[in-house]
Amino acid sequence: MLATLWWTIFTICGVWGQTLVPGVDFFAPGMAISLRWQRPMATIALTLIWMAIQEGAGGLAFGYGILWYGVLFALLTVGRWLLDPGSMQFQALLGVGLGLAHFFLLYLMAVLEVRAFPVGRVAIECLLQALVYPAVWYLAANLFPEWLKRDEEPAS
Amino acid sequence: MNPKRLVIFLVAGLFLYLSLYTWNLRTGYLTRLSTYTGLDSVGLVLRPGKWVGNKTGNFMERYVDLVGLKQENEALIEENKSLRLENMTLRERAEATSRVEKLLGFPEPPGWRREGARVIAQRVGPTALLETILVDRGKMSGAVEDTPVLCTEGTVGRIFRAGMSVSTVLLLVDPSSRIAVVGSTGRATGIVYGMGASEPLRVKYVGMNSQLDPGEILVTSGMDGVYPKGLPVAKVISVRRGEGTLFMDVDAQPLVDIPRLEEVLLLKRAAQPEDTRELWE
Repeated sequence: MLATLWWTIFTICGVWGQTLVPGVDFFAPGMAISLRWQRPMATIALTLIWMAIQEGAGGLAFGYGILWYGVLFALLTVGRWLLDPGSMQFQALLGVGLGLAHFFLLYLMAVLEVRAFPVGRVAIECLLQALVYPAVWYLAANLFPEWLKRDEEPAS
Repeated sequence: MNPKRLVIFLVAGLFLYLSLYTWNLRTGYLTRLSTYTGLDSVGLVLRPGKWVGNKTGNFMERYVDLVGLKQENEALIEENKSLRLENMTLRERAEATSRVEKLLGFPEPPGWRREGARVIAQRVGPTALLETILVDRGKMSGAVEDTPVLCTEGTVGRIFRAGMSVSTVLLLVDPSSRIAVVGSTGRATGIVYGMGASEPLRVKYVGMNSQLDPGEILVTSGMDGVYPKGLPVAKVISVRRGEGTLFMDVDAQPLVDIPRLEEVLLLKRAAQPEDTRELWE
C-alpha cells in the first residue's frame, strides 16, 4: 500500500517534470530504483504504466517505449555486473548512455514513421536527459523509504 | 549467459518487436490503447495542478494588483477576444458573400459548432517528437481526430489524437502539418507546410501567375476536407519568383503566438464527413 502511494507520487511528479521539461523521461530513474529494491513484478507493472503514459502523451506510434525501457533494462543489468548500482558515477554514466540512446531511438522511430527529425532540438533534449537522469535518481533514491527496500540480490 | 543463446534471444526479440510494431502500425490497437490510458492519465494529473496553479496565480495577482481594475480589465480582454472572433468571422463572411452570391445553386456548407478548450501542456515526454499541445477535451465531449483547432487570432492546428478527456493537437508549425489555403484578396491557392517551431511556414504550389503579395492573409480554402473555409492561417512575409519552376516560393508567418496559447476553440462538425458528402452531392 505504501509502495503504491510512493510510486503514485513519483509518477505524478514525473508527469509534471515531463511537462516542464519536454522531451525528457523522468520515470527512467524510477526503473533503476525499482529494479534494485523491489520485486521484478513491481518493476514490470510500473514500467507498463510509464510506457503507456509515454506512448499516450507522445506523438509517435506505439513502439518507442519498448525499446527505450528495454535499453535501460539492458544498461542497468550489464552495468550491475561491472559497477555499483548505488553509486552516483554509475548513474551519471547511465545518464550519458540514455542521452545517446534517446537520440538514436528517436531517429529510428522518425525514420520508420517518415517524420521530420529536428536534430538541434533532439540533441538538446538528449543533453537534458543525460543531466536530469542522475539528478532525479539521486533525489528519488534518497527519498525512497527504507522499509520499502527488500534485500538486494547479489550480482551474479 | 551463453553467447549463442544471447544472439538467439536478441534476434528473436528483434523479430518479435518488429512484428508487434508493424502490426500496430497497420491496426493502431496499441497506439489507441496507450492514448486512452496514458494520455488521459496525464490529463488527470495535469488538470488539478493547472486549476490550482491558475487559482493561486489569479489570487496572488489580484491581491497584488488593484482588484477592481484588474477584474474590469479581464472582462474587457474577454470581450475583446469575443469581438475579435466575431469580427474575424464577419469579415470573411462579408468578403465571401459577394462571391457566393454569384454562384447560383451553391449549397450551404455543413455547419460547425465551437467549443472552448484549455491548453494543459505543450509537448510531454520523450516521444513528443511532433510539435503538439494537449487540450482538456476528448471524445467524451465530441472531439475527434482531425477536429480543427483555432484561437481568436487564427488557426492553431488539428486534433491528432483524441483520448477520452484529453486530446493532442498537431500544430500548424509541425513539419507533418498541411493546410490548404487561399489568399484573402488575390485568391491564390496553395498548401501551407509547417517547418518546425519558430520557423516560418512554407506555402507550396502557388502558381507563378497567381496574385499574392507580402502582408496578405492566407485563409483556409476548405479543399483539404479538414478545415472549414475562411479561417485565417498565416500572413505572407515573402514571395519569390524563381526561374525554371511552375510555382512561387512563399514564406508565411503563423498568426497565432503558439507558446502563449492558453485557451483554444475546437470546431466540431454538426454532421459527420460521410453525411457531408451527401450534402454536397
